[in-house]
Amino acid sequence: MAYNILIVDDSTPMRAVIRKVIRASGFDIGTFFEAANGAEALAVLDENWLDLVLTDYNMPDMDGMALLKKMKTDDCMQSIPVVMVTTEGSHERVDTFIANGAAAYIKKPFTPEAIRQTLNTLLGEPEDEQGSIDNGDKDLDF
Amino acid sequence: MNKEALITAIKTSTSEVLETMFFMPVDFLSAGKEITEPSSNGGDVAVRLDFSGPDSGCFRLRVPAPLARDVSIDFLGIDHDQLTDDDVAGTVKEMINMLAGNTLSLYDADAVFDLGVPEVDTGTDGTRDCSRQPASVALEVLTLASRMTVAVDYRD
Repeated sequence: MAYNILIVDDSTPMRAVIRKVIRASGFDIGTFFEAANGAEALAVLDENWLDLVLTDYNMPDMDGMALLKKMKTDDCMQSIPVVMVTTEGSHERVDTFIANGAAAYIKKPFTPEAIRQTLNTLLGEPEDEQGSIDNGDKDLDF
Repeated sequence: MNKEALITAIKTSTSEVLETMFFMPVDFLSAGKEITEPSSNGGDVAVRLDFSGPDSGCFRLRVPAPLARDVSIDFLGIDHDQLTDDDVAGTVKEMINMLAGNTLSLYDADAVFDLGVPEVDTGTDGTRDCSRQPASVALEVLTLASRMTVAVDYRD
């Protein structure tokens, strides 16, 4: 099964790095969608079938928390797992992410393994273990 | 802010971010001894990021241009001839974003800080006074081939 994944971050380099890590982790990816803030993400979600959303918290215009709340109150989007990938590390804010429906939280800086383990939990083990981050994939150099 | 606790948090955060995300082992000038002002060099990439909460101020990061280019190439996994100025600026801005968020959560994980959006520091010498904060901590970070400066200006 190929997964459609949406990466939401106002940093173009960070979106590229997350995309690279997921690709190298061996998951069967259908399409990577990208958005620079929550509003752009909602537009993508309105038009496409998504299996997973990874979102930053701190973004201009519409932040990751607003996106999370919007998705979790929308009948069509509430079942899509949302992973917060953010530098935010305060206990209160992390608790708030989870209380509002985030499926997982990954703190930046992250290791490729942190991304892989989270996706394993949410999507299941990748079928193609050849792309494992543990096998010295040359593309996975951050 | 507690200056010693802030220095410790900056050092730990800088090591974690640069080693985890950029595979760059680092050390600190004089074992993390604070310097009075960041060195100024016209060829540097300088960025800043404001924060607010129980304490407020701004982070500043200055990276020599050759190091910034090398880091960006490694971070993005692209060839040298593909690299753009936007790639370099974006990578250094993401670096300060992670440094700041990580530093503040290490400094006080029970406090809630709000981070601004990273921006290129357009001050003529890159050392402009952020938000007119009177207190400042600056550390020189040594990499294998170069050095960069991390600074935090805050209301004491």
